[in-house]
Amino acid sequence: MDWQQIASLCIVALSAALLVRSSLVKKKKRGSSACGSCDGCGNKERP
Amino acid sequence: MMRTMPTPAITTVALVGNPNCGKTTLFNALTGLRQKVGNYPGVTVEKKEGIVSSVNGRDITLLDLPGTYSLIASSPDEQVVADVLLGSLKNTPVPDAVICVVDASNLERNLYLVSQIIDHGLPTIVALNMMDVAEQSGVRIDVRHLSDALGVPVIPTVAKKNKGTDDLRAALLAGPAPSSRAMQWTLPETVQRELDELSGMLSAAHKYRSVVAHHTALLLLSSPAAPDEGRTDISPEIRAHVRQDHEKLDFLGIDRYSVFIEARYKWIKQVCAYASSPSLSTGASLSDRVDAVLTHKFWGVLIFFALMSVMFQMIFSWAELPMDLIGHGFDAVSARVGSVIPPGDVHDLIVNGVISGVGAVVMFLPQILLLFFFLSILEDSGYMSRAAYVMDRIMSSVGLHGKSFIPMLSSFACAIPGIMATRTIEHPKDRLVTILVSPLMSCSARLPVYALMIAAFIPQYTLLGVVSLPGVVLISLYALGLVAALAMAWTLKKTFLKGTSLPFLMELPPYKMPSLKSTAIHMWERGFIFLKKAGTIILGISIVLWFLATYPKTENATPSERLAQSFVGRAGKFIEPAIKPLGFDWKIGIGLLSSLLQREVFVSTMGTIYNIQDDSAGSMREAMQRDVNPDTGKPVFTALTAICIMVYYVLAMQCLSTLVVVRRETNSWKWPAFQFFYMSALAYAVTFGVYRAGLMLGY
Repeated sequence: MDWQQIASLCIVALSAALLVRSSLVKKKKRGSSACGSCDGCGNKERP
Repeated sequence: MMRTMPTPAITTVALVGNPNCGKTTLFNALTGLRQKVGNYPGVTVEKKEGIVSSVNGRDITLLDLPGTYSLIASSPDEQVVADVLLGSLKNTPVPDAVICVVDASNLERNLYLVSQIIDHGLPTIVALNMMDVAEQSGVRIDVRHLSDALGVPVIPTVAKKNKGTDDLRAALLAGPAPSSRAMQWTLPETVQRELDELSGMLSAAHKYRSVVAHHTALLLLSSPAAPDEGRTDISPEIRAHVRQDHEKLDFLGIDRYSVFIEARYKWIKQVCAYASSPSLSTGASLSDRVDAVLTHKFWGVLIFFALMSVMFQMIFSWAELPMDLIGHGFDAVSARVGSVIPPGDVHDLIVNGVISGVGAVVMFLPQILLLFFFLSILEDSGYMSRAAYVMDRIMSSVGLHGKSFIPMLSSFACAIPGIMATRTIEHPKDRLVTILVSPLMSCSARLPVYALMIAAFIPQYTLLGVVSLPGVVLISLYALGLVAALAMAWTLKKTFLKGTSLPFLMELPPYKMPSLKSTAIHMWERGFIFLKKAGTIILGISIVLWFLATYPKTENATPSERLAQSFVGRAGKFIEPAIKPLGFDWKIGIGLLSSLLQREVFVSTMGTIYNIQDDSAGSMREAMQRDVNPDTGKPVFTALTAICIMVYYVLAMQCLSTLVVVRRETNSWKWPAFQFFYMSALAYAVTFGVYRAGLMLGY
């Protein structure tokens, strides 16, 4: 493995981790909003 | 003649009127209670009571009823008004009299409710409010003539300045009487006969008071649906009779809903001509003249579709130059990075993964900005409400009404705000149908997919010297989404979600010059969201996709063979048998899989895999055009394949965020699951049909 392979795999792993993390954070934040269209305004009122 | 009979002393008076006619302000002025007064239509949402302190010590209870345009109720608020006036609301006696508040600057529309109220036979006083606004706009009303024409006392008021309220109190104490001018409007003979017959049957069978029988008969006759739903209070014999009436009137070509409205307005126009200055009765303001064209039954629809066509033509042609510039910019960056980083995996990742993937999506920023530029202008100018109004006729043919068209129009931008906007729809089934079909409208996320396919595979013909073929294809895709949404709405309303459609009344906001600032802000916000998505999620997916398209590595193989042996290549090959009938190969399959959560990812995926596969210089578009299927020796992408991909993306539900919002709005996973499966099945079936038809035609 050359340095380019190692570096590229590190970037891929980091990107995958960030993608998973952002989707988990979004899911958590959506739990506090009524609509799910934003990151959560705290409006729990249902239509 | 004003009064026909004396009335006993009144104790309860209902205050009714259109939204925004100053009713709540007048209520405050008469009772002394302080309430919040807002500008939103229907600000009064509950029944409110107050005491009118009278001159001679007698107290009168004033009921402040919700604002309504008509007694043919379409929302729970409006139903309260009809129920109170008919005496069918528990614990609320029929009021002894009604004060009907009328916006003098908008007399004709407000008199519609007045005409319904005087038909109910309750003692009525008309409070001709906002006289100052009417005078400022040059409207002259002859109060005596108006009173004579309506057969009830008419008191001019300016509630916010407390003008005329003493006269109103005095009129109340004098004891108003039922109007002598009730039921002055004339229906076509057949309709009148059926109405009278049905009223008589209801009175005889259910012992309804004549006014209740008349109101119920009118409701039943004008209802678009048979009285089987929600009218279990009506005997089966009468329901059968109503069905016969519907069939008869439909056969005669009578629009059962409009015929009553038109008859009333014919009479109202006569009243206005008699009681107000000619300029008011002819409604000759510039706004009215423009509305006469824009909301015309035929011209209105034609103008709407013409405007949409011009919009999409402009989006395509205006965006061409900036898109080319962005494309060249990314090519230059790619070349520069390529010269700095020596060949290897990092070089490939940056050039093929990051720059190609993100660049392929960012290139479509000008089209996104132009789409929001036009949508913002149409909305700010007040045209969107007119569009909803003219589309009401088309919407009603599928069992929905114009109000459902507003969320569908919003879905041109994004289905999420469109689905949120369905909250204004009163009927739960209508709302659910609108939620289920709104994602079929082409959102901005589909635009990059359309734009890529059209630019690469649709020839640049100009039809009739003005209309470009790519523009026509783009409009057709938006039209396909609209037609599919209407067809699905019709199907759902006929099967799972049967229900009566409610009448549609909406206030058209005044026209105004769109603000350049708000348009720019809107474009900036949407452009920022698009770029943020490209710089975060799409960047991340492009990097991961590069890895999946590069590993496991195959030595001594061509780029195409290496891609076929990679993780995504194998996944694409795995689903290829399922998508082959649609004319798609395994590489398109990779695009379909990777864009399951977000549609634009299809474009970045194509950018990544075609850069990995095709080392030669040139754009992604050219690489796609050059790609040949080794098994058949034919091009992977043809105009037919491109059309099939676009048709698939019009109809398929490739958006996780929308599904999550549907889950929240319907409070169940059942409906988003249903939506995902029906849209996927529809996309598959229609794409299959288009592909087969294309092959048969020799494409």
